[in-house]
Amino acid sequence: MTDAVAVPGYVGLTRRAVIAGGGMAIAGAGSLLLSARHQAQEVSSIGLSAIVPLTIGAWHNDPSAVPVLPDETEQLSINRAYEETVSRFYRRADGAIVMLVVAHGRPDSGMLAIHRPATCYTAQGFTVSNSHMTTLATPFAGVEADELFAVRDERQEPIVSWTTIGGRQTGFGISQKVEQLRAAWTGKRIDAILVRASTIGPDTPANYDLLKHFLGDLLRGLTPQQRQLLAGIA
Amino acid sequence: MSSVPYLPANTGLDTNRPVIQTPTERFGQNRLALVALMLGIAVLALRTGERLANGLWSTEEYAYSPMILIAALYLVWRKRHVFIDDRSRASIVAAVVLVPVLAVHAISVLINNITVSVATILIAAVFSAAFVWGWRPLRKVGFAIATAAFCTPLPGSVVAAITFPLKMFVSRAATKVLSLVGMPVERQGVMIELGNYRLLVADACSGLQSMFSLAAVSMVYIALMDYRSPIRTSILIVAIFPISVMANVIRVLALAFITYFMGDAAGQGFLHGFAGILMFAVAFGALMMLDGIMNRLGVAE
Repeated sequence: MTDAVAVPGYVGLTRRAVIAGGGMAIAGAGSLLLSARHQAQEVSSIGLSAIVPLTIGAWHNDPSAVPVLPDETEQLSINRAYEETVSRFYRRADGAIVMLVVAHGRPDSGMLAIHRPATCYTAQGFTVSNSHMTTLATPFAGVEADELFAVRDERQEPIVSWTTIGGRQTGFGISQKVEQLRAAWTGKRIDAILVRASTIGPDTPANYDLLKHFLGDLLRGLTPQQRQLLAGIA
Repeated sequence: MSSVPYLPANTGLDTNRPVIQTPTERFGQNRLALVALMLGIAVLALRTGERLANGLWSTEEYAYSPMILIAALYLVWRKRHVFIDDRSRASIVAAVVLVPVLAVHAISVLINNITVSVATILIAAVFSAAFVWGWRPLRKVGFAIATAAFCTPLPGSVVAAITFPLKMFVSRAATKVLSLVGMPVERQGVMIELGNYRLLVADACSGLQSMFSLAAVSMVYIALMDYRSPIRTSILIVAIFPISVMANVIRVLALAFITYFMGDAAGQGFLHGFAGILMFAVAFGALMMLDGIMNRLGVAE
């Protein structure tokens, strides 16, 4: 080797290259093996459309309308893995409305990213404001949820949303990444869920209360196992 | 493996390096180092490469990305003689930084964040080269590195935030021009109604992806021109963005005319692809024209 003629203490060019190349190869091989273990674990259908009831408390499904969803081509290009989405429009006798979206898929499929309300509404031309995390009081336990407000021209939507990975509440920030990493690390089949409810109206506490009660009614209608999966509470 | 002994520049002084060798010969002695680094980068990029090949890069919008990578590699290859053995320049700091970069890469692969995965591969390649050859040769191929950075897919949230305003701008501008030339045109959001036809300005028409591919091709053009003036180079780089938005308006106009005079089938078929190529030609032509104007005005090269 050309470096053999080097003076003592001289870390040669080739040796440095082997160290750097070796380091990169180890990192590459390691992440390849770990992700291969996880990648093999496909998430299969949990029958989401049957889990989410058509009647929630005083609310009844109106099949004639659909909520804001990500662009279809975007869904196709980002996410080719399995994913199931239920999107429904609910009406109450007094005329109040709620739009509900529940998405289910792999924690690492990009599903959580494209259905995240801040991203999804922005992509559809809405301006999102006043996004903040809050603990949503439900009849069972608190849920770490994101409250935000989206506006496009005349249309105003107060929104409440949360996610779970493997039946644990994650929020949308770094803790979601940590749960994604944990899911990948265990190499097990793990379900990720995103729940989003919105109504039409101004950015007032009354509208968020409306959504909170709707979501409480939704959780009441589920079995403890389903509640664990959808909201991280039993 | 080379068995020819030569004097490594271990005296630390550039003047003591053997001067009888041509740059290509000097490069030849680095072959083993190059192979070791390339192998390391290849293994590092295995999973990400597989995901890109089956995912984003196989879609029409990102099909340009592999070309950029090849162009960037060519730009480095052109300057390969700058990579010389010089231990006084080798950066130990780069090796220290490499460790957390590789850790972040592994995490991004596990949680399937393609943006971070690609970015960390590029950063790891640069820092490992700095560890072997030092920062000086890397500065000389800085432009190639900047070009390679265009391979990094933008994060979904950024794409979402930029695409809609761009789409709106393109729709507004196209509608304005169409009504100026007396066409029967109405606009509702990103929907252009032209006579009996309705044209939807889709995400792909925002021009964000074409802006990226155009920027990448322009970077190669600028690199090949070998301008020494940073002002000249900066003007060209900054100009890429308004030029590609304008070119995209022209593409939507071309599609509007094709649809109006030749029917929906023509607008959606072969001519749709043709309009895309036209847009690219217009944009690249405009960039070269700008460069030509700067020649006339006597802007330093």
